[in-house]
Order: sequence, then C-alpha cells, then structure tokens
Amino acid sequence: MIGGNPFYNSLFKKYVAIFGTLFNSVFIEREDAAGNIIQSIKVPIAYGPREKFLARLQDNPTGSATVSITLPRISFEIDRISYAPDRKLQTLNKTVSQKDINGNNVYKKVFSPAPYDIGFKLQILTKTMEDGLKIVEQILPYFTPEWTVQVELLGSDFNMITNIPTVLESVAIDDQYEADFTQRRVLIFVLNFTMKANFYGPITESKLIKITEVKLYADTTANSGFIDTIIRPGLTSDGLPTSNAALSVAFAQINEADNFGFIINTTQTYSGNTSG
Amino acid sequence: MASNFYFNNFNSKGEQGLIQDLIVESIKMYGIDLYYLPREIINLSSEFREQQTSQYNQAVSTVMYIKSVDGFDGEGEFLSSFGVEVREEITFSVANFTFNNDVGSLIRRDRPLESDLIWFPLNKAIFQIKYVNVRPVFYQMGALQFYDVTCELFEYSNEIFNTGIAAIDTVYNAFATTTTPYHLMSEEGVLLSTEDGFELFEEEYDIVNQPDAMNTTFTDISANFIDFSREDPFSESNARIA
Repeated sequence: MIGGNPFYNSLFKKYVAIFGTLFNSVFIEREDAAGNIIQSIKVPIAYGPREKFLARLQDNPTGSATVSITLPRISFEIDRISYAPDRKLQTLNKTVSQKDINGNNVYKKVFSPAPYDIGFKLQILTKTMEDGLKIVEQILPYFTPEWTVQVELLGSDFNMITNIPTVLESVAIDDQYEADFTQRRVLIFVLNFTMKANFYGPITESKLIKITEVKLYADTTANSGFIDTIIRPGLTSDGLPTSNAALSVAFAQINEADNFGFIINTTQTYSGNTSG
Repeated sequence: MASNFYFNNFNSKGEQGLIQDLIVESIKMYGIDLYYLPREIINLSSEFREQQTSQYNQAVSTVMYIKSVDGFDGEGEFLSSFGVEVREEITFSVANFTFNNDVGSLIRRDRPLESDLIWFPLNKAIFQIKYVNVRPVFYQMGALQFYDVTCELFEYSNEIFNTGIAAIDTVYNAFATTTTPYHLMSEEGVLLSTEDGFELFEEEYDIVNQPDAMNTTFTDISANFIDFSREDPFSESNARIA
C-alpha cells in the first residue's frame, strides 16, 4: 500500500535546516585583563553525522593534520522521532494551493499532516568552561521553553505559514577533567530539543470545481421528489459576466480569474414529474 | 649501616657532570631541532580558573630527542560528531642543561611547562605539552639529567600566534574564526560599531577556513522557506512603545 506513488516533501531536510539556522550566527567575545574586547569569534556549526570518507577527504585531506580540532564548535543531530497525539488534526481536512500552478485551473492539494516530535541533540565543544557558558547563555533566553519560527513548509504555492515551535528540554554539562595530566580535558555542553514538526503526505493535483449540483429531498424515505440546483459560471464571448446559459461560452473556457457570473438552473421533481 | 664509601658516587659532582655531558651529547646526535613556544596568558578567569585567551609571541629553537620512535601514540584519527579529530601524542626527551641553556636563558622558564607548545618540523605541526616528567630516570648518580615531555597535537581555540616564524604564524592564524579581518574601520583606524556597541563588519564575512562549517549552508537553504518577517524576540521591533 505504502509507496505506490513515491513522494518526498524534503521535510526532514527543512527541519534540519531550520534547526541549524537557529544557531548558525552565534558569536562569542573574548576580553583582555583590562576588559577590552580583543576577539569576536563566530562559532562554526555543522550537522554531526556524515559519511566517513567524505569527512576524511574534507577535514584531513593530506592525512597529516596540523591541529587536533579547532574550537569552539557546535554540532547537532536528530536522535528521536515520536508521534505527538496531542497535536492530531482531522485527517480528511485538505489544504489547497492558492495559485493556479500551470495556468489551466489545476491546483495542488494535500491532506492534514501527521504530527511528530523530532528530538535534536545539540552539542557544544569548547576548550574552556567560559567559552561554553558564553554560548549557552546566548541560547537559553530565547527558549521559554520554546522558540517558534514561521515556515512555508510546502513552498510558496500553498501560501501557508506554519508555526514550528522548538522546545528546549534539558541542558547538561559533560566536563571530563578528572584524570591524569596526559589525558585531555573534554568539555561538552549537551542541549536536548524537541521540534514540533508536521509531516505531509503526497501532494496531488486537481482541477478547479466549476459546476456544483445540489439535490434537496423533502423526505428521503419516500419517493416524494426533490429540488435539483446546478450552478456554473457564465461568461459571454466578450468577457462579460452573464447568468444566461444561452449567451455563455462553454465552462471549460472560463478561468478562475475571469469576470464571470453565475448560471443557476433549478428543477423540481414531484414523484416522477419534472418541472423547470 | 652506611653505604660503601668506595662505590657510592651519588654525591660526586664529577660523575654527575660526566653523565650530563653524555646525555647532552647523545640528544644532540640523535635528536631533532624544533621550536619551543612559551604561552602568554592574556586573561585568566578567576571564577573558573582557566585562561580565556592565550598568545604565543616567541619561538625558541632547541633540540630534543624523540622518545616515541615507533610513531605517534594516542587514539589517532577518528570521526566524532564534531568532525575529524586527530589525537596524536608524542614524547620528547630534553636535557636539563640544554633546556636551561637554549630556552631558560631567553625566557622565564625553569623547566618545560605544561601548555607551552612545541613545533615539530617533520610534519610541521604544533604539539602542546600535557605533562612533564621531571624524573624519567630516578637520580642517576644522584642528579636529574633530562625531562620527558609528553605532548599531544594542538587543540586550536583561536589562540594568537605572533612568533615571527612564518611557518607557524601563517599556518595557525589561518584557522581563526575571528571577525577581526572583516571589521569596518574609519580612515583613522577606529573600529565602527552600532549605537548599542556591536561591532560592524563586512557583510561577506563567513567562516571560510573550515570546510565542514555549515553556517552559511543553513542560511542559504532556509532562506527559501523560513519567514523572517517576525524578528527575534529581543529585537527592537518587538519593543512595546508607550
């Protein structure tokens, strides 16, 4: 059943980019003993997991590194995905694009998303406690405990802004300083976040509905007749709106943006008899 | 019972001097010339008892023996969540006399100090001294003749290099992620800043010297779908106007 029509909305990639963007402009400043700022440092950030051979070829291409690692730096990765039943929406609701995507009255639509929480683990590696605290102290005030960004998850066609809250769950400090002097001190700040994400199914296309037909029954338990109402757009060949079907061009030639009128045709049926 | 007077030379200065000369001569024959970089702490954090910034302004040539003859020790090269880390260790032996003569006479060092650096010419890399064993041989003839210096590949954190040795300064300052080269300055050389005191720097500033940094990548990708019309909660656009 799953996979009959492959689809990929790149939502995971977008969520990773959103999360990375929250922390990609962190600076720390260092001062001299007199309190003068002598360095302003931008902290590099990267998504942690990567293909090993690419890492070696990129980070140590000569195989003879001149530094062990450069600090400070931030790394993050997805460590958890779990369903969020408290954010469940009515499944059959549809979101429809606001634009005619190919000029032929064709629109995109997608059903309600499935709510999932994505866990992100953000790690900050610094050489000193103070460098780490300078970074963490710039992060904490933004999360109360969530920070919400507005995102166009499905592109501009849908003209739909979605709020994506990211919640700071916990902060831990891993300071490995208790060892003999030949062991290096490793100082890592670990921040766990939960991003309240939505996942959409396949985006399908459908044409604009131009004709509606409504049948009203006074009594559905007996053959007592009904009222049948058909509404369709009306447009003369001169581009003027009309409610006269005889003057209108075929409805297939009428587009969403035309200045059309409405042709309403109602018929009544009484126990098999019809009157217009 | 006292030790035998005729065989106990532990207090013999002549014997001690002979062994010292032999060690100095041996290290000169089998050792390697390298640079010793003393650390200068710019600012010491009293709360956390650590240095905030360091700089290295001198490089003193001396000779040391490579004790790790089989190659680098340590955990080697591995991939962590922070990228490729190289944890290589090396142990040098340096004669007390040589160190005092070459380094101690120029800078204030009685012995090699932990956190000072050693530039190793074979792979043109800097190693940081982690531990100095001042008694690698236990009072040979009643004296200590050399130190064992255990070092590991340098963990760079925007330290400032101004040693005058191009092979060191150029290579290591290039790792910096500081905004200094991109600061906007007046004609008089005064740094420009905003009313709030934030320094101004060129828009094209980016971390270009670290190939695995993705700061700009995230900005470029997310520019297509993040709505930045709402500023961050601490911007002035959110300030309540009375």
